[in-house]
Amino acid sequence: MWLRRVLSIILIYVYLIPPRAQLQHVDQPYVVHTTSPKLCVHTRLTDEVEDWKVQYTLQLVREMGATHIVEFFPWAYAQPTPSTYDWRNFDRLFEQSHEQGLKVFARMGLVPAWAQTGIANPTLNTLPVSAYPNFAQFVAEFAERYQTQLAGVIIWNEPNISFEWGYNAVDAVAYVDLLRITYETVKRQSPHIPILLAGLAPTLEPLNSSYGLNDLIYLEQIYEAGGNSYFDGVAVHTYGFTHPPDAPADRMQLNFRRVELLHGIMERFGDGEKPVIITETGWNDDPAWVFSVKPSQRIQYTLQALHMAERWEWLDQMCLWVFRTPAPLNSYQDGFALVSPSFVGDGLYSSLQQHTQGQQTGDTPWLDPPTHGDE
Amino acid sequence: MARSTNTWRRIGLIVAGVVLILAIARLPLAPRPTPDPSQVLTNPILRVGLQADRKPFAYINEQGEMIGLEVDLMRLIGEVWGIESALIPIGADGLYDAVTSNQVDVVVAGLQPNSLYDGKSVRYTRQYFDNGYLLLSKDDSPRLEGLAGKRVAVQFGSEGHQLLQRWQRRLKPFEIAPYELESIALNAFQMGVVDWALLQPTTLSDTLNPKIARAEWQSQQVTHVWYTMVVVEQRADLLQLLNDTLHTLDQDSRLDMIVAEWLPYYAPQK
Repeated sequence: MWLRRVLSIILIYVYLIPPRAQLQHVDQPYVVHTTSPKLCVHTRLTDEVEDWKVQYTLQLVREMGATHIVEFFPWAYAQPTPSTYDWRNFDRLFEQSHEQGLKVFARMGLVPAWAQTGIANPTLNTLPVSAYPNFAQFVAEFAERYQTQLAGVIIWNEPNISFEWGYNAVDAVAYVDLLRITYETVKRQSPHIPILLAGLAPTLEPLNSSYGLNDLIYLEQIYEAGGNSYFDGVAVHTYGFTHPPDAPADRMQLNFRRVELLHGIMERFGDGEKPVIITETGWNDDPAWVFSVKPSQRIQYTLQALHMAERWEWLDQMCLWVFRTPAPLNSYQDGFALVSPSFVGDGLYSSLQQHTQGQQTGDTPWLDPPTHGDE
Repeated sequence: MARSTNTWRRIGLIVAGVVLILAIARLPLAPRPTPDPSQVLTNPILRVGLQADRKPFAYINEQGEMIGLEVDLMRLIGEVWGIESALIPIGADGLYDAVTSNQVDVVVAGLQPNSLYDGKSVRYTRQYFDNGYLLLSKDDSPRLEGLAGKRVAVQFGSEGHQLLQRWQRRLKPFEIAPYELESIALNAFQMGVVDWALLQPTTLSDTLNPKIARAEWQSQQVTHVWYTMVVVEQRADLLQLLNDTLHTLDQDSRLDMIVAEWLPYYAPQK
């Protein structure tokens, strides 16, 4: 009798434990089929917990017709102590992106606490000068490990705004110093890995602002500080906000074609041959955000921007912010996502997919606004 | 015999222990006195981090002034405390860092409690607003049981749309009418093209939705999205001060008055 009870309990227990999901792997990596090889998306997968969600996200990226992704690789995640590396999180992402036939632009940042010893009120972006060589060595180890899949390594993020510079005053000369040390360290180990200048935050902040500095001025300062010897390409952040993509470039306006002004500065400093990669762009359709557009405009503007990007010979990729986040951000930022955390694609996802597969973009998936005749 | 006595003694001890725990639990705990703002804030200025691009909570108007529901709320709290509030715009990416690195005392930007941070680096106050979905109906108070056979307007691709799709799998058949925007869904509801509408309270703002007209409708809150303020983990006194003040403003309806100022067609459900 007791044996039957024990067996029943064991059976119930076994039944209640969910089976561990087994990923299906392919023998040969997929090939991305697309008519828009410049289409790329920024993913956020290093904060994803479950393996199948990483795999399914990248599958959806491939099926949309994007050839590249940009991903953030936090230093603090992979080097918990000065002498320890833990690559597991990053390994699975590179394995899965390889299977889906995707190349990766890696954005590097987020400082571990051990590199901030003695700093008062550090933020996740506070990098003391004394830790520049530690960061550089980490990037070099990273680049060597994943070199076959890397399309480029982006050194830091938006250093022209104070928040991204650890709430310190922004300083292009200091950034060039970080760039130089990192470039030299990476190239010693992996000479062929492209090093990309950080995408600068599009902003009109004037000199001496506590918030940050105009990205055009900051880029000029990088060149004046001799930074051009320490990068192979330039990452660019350019958003459309409420403007259509063909709104003219203007030093006093933030819009999509600001990328042309940044490229113009590169040309002026004799650097126009280096590739430009738009690593963040897009339009937002959250009505509560003051810089949003309607969902139909978001689709129209994004497709139009992609056509423009395809004509710009100096531009390698146009990466949309953001493909999907692991959980809702519960802010206007959710209005940038192409796919929801629960994997529901929005109208932009299907329109881009139709475009890259050479199909006519179909009817809109929503009803026409009601008219008085409908009452 | 000895074994039986021991058993009864054990049972007696357990019963006594349970009675003692229940008695302690019933004791009214003396509320901690509300801290004095001049002692909690060193300056004494309340440095408030706001994300000034979110209508109708905090945004810059055509005159270049920061206005909105959260702006009014923090000004009122400053008045209640008898101190000045410094309103500091912070980008969406830097909200948590601003408070943990002591750039501001409190962040007020529609943030919702996140177990990853709560109690580790920051603390969340009680809620000051609920931005959960509302089910709107022109007749009786809309309840899920009455959904069968109805036509429900919603914004295409929104969380509300996904919620209706989940309900469709579980409830009796009803029709979803997806529109491009919540404001269009509301318009369809007001024109009688659909029976019900599922939307967020912010759509009932004339700042966001200038075409909105006053109309009779019943609403039922079907999800909750609590907006809270964030302070750094170590500042328990400031957290208590904010919580006590929010409680007072809720009790004497001054919080409702601010909400009504910005969302005149929305009646929060208590």
